[in-house]
Amino acid sequence: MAVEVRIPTIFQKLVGDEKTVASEGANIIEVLDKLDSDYPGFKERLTNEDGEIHRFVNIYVNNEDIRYLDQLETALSDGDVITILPAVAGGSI
Amino acid sequence: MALHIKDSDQQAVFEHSRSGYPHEACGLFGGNEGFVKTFYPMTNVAASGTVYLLDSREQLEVMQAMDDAGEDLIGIYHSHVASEAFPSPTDIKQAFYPDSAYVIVSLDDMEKPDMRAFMIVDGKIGVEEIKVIEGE
Repeated sequence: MAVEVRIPTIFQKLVGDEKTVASEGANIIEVLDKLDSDYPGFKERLTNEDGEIHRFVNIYVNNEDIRYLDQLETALSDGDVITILPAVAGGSI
Repeated sequence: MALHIKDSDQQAVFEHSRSGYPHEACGLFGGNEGFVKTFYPMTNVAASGTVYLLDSREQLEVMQAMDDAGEDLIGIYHSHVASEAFPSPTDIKQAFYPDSAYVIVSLDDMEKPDMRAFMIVDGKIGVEEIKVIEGE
């Protein structure tokens, strides 16, 4: 599946300063693997040592958070738009 | 670049902070070139007095609304309910928006909240001046 991936500012350096890149895959894992082969180090920034998405990274498919879909297994269709956004978080401690 | 905010927006932020107490309150500022055009109050899904986390769906919706309005994300605000308006180690570690000011409102004195702004880039804190503009 050919998809469009919207890249947040903090990761744009990894993809040649692009805001949007084209990628492909049948699900989110495949897309991340393809992005990592095109832009080495990309996946590492989004995932923890267990290969799960870092808790402060939000990934959306067509505006829905994949936490509410099938997470990394979320199936994709041609033309889907994937948005990656760092969470907005913090605290007083 | 200083962060310019209208007096009415600053008061709305203070009120939002107070109404969220005892939890931390949070929100986003859309605008351009350091001038806040729109204050977006947000939900703290952590519902905590020491931690804040934006609802991921609401975050995307508001960021898209900013895009549609031609605004940039120029400020991320949250309250500290009982400590000074200065980034905590957690704030620094979780600062993923280097282009946005991090605005902290201290409710240490509930009657006179203290608002300060910072840029947090690569773990380093820079103080950002806040200029309050008179009017609505």
